[in-house]
Amino acid sequence: MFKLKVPKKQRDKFRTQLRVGDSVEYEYVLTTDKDLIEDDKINIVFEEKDLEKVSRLLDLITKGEDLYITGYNEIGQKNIESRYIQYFTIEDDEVYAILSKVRFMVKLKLYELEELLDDKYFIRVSKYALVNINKIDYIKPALNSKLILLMKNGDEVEVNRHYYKAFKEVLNI
Amino acid sequence: MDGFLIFLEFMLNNVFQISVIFLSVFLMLYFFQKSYREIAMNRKLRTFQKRLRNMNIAKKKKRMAILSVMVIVPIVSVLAFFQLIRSPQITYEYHVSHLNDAEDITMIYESYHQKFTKNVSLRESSIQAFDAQRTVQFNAAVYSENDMPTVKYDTRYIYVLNSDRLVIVNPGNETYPIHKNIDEVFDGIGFFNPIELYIDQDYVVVVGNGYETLSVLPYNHPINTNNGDNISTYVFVFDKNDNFALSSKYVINGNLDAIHKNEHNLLVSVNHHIPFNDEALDVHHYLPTIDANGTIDETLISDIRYIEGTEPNSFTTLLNINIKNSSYDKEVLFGDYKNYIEITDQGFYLLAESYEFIEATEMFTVSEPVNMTRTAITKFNYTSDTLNYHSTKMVRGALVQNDSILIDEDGLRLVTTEKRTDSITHRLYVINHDMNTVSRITDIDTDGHNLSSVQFFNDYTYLIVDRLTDVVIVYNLTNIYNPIYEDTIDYDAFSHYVYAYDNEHILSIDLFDFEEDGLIDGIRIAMLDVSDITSPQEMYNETIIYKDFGLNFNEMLFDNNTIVLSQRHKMLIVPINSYNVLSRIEAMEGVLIFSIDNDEGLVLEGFISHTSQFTPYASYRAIIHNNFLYVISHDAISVSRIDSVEDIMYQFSLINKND
Repeated sequence: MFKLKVPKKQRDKFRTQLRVGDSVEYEYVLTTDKDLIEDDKINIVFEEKDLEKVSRLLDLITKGEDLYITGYNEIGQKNIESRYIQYFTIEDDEVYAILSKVRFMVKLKLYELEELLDDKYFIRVSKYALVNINKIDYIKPALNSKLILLMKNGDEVEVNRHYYKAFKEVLNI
Repeated sequence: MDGFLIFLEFMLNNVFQISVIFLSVFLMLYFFQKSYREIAMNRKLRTFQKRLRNMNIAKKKKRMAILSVMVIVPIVSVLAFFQLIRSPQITYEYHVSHLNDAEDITMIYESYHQKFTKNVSLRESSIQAFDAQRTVQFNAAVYSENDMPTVKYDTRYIYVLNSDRLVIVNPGNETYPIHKNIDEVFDGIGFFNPIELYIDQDYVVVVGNGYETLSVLPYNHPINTNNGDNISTYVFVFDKNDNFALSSKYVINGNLDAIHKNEHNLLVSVNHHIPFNDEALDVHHYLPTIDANGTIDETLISDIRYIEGTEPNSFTTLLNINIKNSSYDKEVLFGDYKNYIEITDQGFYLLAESYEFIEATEMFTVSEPVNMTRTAITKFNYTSDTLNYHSTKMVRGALVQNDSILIDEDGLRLVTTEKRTDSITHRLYVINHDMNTVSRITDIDTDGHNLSSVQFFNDYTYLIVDRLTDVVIVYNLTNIYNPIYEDTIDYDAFSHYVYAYDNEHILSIDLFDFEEDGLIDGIRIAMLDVSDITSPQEMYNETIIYKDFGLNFNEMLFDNNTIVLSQRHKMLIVPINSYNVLSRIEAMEGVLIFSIDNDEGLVLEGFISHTSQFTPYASYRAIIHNNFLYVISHDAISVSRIDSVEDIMYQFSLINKND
């Protein structure tokens, strides 16, 4: 998505702070030298002192505005930033948002969440689960043509055969 | 292409094993593909997450390591498997290995034995080959007038070698015909089987086997080979210039295989069987040992060679003895070469079947495994004082029979047969003395039939197809670089043995079943006119039915050296020395003398016998010298004119009066 064009000695530092890696296909050029801009790309020319601002800008580009989901538990209710949610699942006809260590009941339907979080890189993997791609730790093919997603909190979520193709297309597998 | 056909044949014969192999390969490929897909899929996931600036990505090193192992292990296993089965523990260099110690010997034997006993088809073909040898022994060369192995003459004496003495006869002295009777050198030998007698200007050389005991009589001959460890080969050299005094003596443990004399060099091949079925076997006890005039020379294992795939059941010792200098040089092979050893002026040639086992058969006990038979041709060069290994050449297939090879000054010509489950391939090779293939024919068409015999005459090679089909295929080898198919002729008297009487005539000798009861009970001798090689004509024939003499056995069946064929005197002399193997009562003993007449054919001129007494282990021999026929038996020599053979002029005993 991003191409970082900075002097060699600054590259590692900038890459760490901006959390970008090199990719062959990119739409944005990030550079400190305006002579290095590319005509057919979106160019962001910045100075070193503005790194923090640029990082926030990149967050906006990649993740859009922060989106909060209201969750409930026995203590009360809490607004949860969507990027912290591992996945949503349905248990006993109730929708739950699963985080690293805790879970909240959500009063939205799963298809409503799917529409809401479409540009947040959540993907439907079964009739009962909506998964945050950024929280997938590992994909393990199962013997029955299904996929098992190992989430970063250690849970396993199955990609149903019906959603298998769509999942592969999103990841370009 | 051959490799593919062998693999195909193995597949068809071993469906279960092939199924297991295919299933293994399928599973291996499945897991390979699955592992590869998993790695690729997660790599894409990481790329995707990086695009979203998610830098907190675990590398999953452990899982990757497991997957890598899953991918690599099957590949490495397959490679290791093929490497393992392709790498024999004994390493061969151009089919030849040098042994290191006694362990190598037992390991080679056990490996070979294990494969051979597993291999039913190989065992059966071996038995067939053995049966064939029993019937084709008759094809040994016919000896001419002074080539009888144990009876020779020179300008003064007739030399008669018997089992217990060498008698030197002066035929010109009717009063005291025995010039010298040498028997003391045979003292201490349990039983001496005389095999060869050489006479030259300076020396008389006696060669034979000595047996410590004769407790077991072989089934087909009273003095046939016995591969126990109680056999030794004896070479005695007598000096003619010192009134036949013993000048040197060599004793080699083992059975004499082949012998050849070239001026003052005596070339000897000795086979010493190793009883591997003896649980207390100590290989060192069976190492070739030479007692040369009292000096003991024991062979070192490191000096022994083994030719890949040959039957490892014995040691074959080759000796080049310089008679004049009383010195020798030797080489030793681990293997059985007694089926074919040819010693010529160009060198020692040892031929043996070499079985190449398809490696996969080592993994399974299969009912009909695939194997390949090759003929290993090993050559040793010699000079007056040295003997050196030259090379080993492998050709496809096994010799059709012992006689399907000719070695002359141009090189070697041989015909081999290779049998597969449903096919048979015959090949004709022309090889020069440097052991390079000059030419070969691989498309000999026998319509799927066996070859029963191969004969080489002049520039022609006659391939005699199984006698039931009565077909002879002729190749012209005038240009050895370009053998030409000449013709296929149809004649039924070629089988078994043919001998070139002259350029236009062939003497054909056939084993015959006169009573048509499935048992060979006689011999049919025919003269063929082959002036037109494409159309041989039988001129005449003569039959000898053993049973006319009350026989069911005849020495000629296994020892063709007994026949004398004289072109000069136009005579054929056939010894009859037979007995009933069950009763051991001699029924007929003597020689049949035929004259060869182009008009009348073979005419029986007479039958000469010295006694009807049963004399085991003795044979009648005959020589023609100065228009006299000398008939030699164990005890006597009779002399008659060749124009009236039955009129014995005089007869004298070979037994010393002092005995």
